[in-house]
Amino acid sequence: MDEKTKNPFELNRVRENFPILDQDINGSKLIYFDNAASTQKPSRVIKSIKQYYESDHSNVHRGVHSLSIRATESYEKSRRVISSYINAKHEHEVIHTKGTTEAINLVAQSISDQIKENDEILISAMEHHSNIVPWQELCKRTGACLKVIPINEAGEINLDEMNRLISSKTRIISITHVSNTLGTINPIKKIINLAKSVDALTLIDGAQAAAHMRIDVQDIDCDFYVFSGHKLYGPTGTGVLYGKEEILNSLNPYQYGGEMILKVTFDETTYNSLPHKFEAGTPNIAGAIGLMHAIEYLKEIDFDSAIDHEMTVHDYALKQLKLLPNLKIVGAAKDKSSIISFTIGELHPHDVGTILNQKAVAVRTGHHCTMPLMDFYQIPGTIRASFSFYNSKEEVDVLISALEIATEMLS
Amino acid sequence: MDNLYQETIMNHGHNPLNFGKPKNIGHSIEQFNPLCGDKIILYSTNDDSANFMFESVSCVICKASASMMTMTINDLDFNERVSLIESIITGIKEGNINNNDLSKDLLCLNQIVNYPSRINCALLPWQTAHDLIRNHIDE
Repeated sequence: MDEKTKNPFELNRVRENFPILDQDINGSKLIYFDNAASTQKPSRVIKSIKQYYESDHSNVHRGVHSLSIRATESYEKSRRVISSYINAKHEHEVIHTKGTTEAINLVAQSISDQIKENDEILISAMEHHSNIVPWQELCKRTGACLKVIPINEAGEINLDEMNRLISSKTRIISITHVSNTLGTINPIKKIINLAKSVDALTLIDGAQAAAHMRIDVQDIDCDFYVFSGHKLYGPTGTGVLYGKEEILNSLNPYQYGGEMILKVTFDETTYNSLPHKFEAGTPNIAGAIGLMHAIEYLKEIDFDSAIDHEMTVHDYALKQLKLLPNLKIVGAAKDKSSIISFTIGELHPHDVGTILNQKAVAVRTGHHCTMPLMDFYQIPGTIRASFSFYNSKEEVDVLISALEIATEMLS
Repeated sequence: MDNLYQETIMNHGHNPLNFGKPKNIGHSIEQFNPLCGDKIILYSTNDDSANFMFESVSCVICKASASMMTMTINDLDFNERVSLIESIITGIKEGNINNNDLSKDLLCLNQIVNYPSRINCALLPWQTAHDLIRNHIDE
């Protein structure tokens, strides 16, 4: 990151950059602890989208007029900024998608021809549905077998079991970097090294990681890394598939149409090179530009200091939550991101969430799209508080107080 | 808020009527609320009354609604059940349950419309009952 543009982290100044936070819900000041579902957007992102539509909009690529040239430059600049953010070797290894789900589906669809009967695909027991179902469908289409690496009670991947499951049949290992439900940070470098020992491809689901830690895809050395823009302070409908050049080149296109072709006749079509091969149709230009500004914003505020603050809030929340009677933390991994899931006695998470909302505290409740993980813990759902650098310890105090009220009302 | 978690809902939610599995099961159906994972199993007894009982892993709203549903349904002639269920489903969605012949407890479900994210919790037992009758009992 550009050292010259860094500023020391100041919570109040940062909060002013997020206009949505300055509002009342049900008569109290909004406290937003649902950042794992989607983060809020800084003014810079919002303004960039407005600016784009007011001054620069046209369709990208192929246009010879000024607006199309401007739109194309901004759209491709976004690719450069994203590429730099994750330290990709080449810009064309960054594919714009509409989110993590589409990125995983793209890989699972486009790799079909390379998967055959009795091949094996490994995922973990803590995956989001979007990193389960596309692989289940790939297995149905090809006759491959989906295997699940178990976790321990703390919510950590059992690497010994993974060692046992992995074999020469393993073709793909697709693992979340950070669990969206538990906050566990998985040892992805160890997992990728194991994968390499059997020449398996690796996909890392970075949906919950990209906004909370520095990502270096060359250092991680994964084959694919995917994440969503809207969890990274960018617009919804944006996301990224990073893939190593050689491997992306080996995949079939995901969708067919404009942009992704070089030459079309009624007899034959020649596909475009990376990254356009995977970006059929008019892309989400404004979204890509918004995502670029989100990343630039993170550079401005000094990302490392912001994450330090975020984890301070998380650590304080964990400590305070543990003091509440009958509250059970779900997931106690040694290496954790800023997500806390918990249950309170027999209280149903939905009831607790509704009462917290009345106190203007926004949390997520339910299974968090990880039903198999809920089955593992034998619970119907959790209450999940997930933090951003714009949160404060004072907000945690309000959460604790609201939880005490909810417990009293529902017991 | 007090309007939602009021005494009637809490009483039915904490001490639901007709909760459990009957010994003489006629038909049963299991349904989920995919948004939150709530689960309900609805039973009808294998006798002339075809009374409804239920088990659930669900929130207070869903459990209370199921309790009121079984309480109401079991008092009715069999042929009246479907039309009542349909009118209550509409009533929950629109917040206008006002049938004077029914238990006043049901009126508390009129508050749910003010909590859009919870409407499905209240609807699940009624929709499950509707499916049970349509799929099995009237065959």
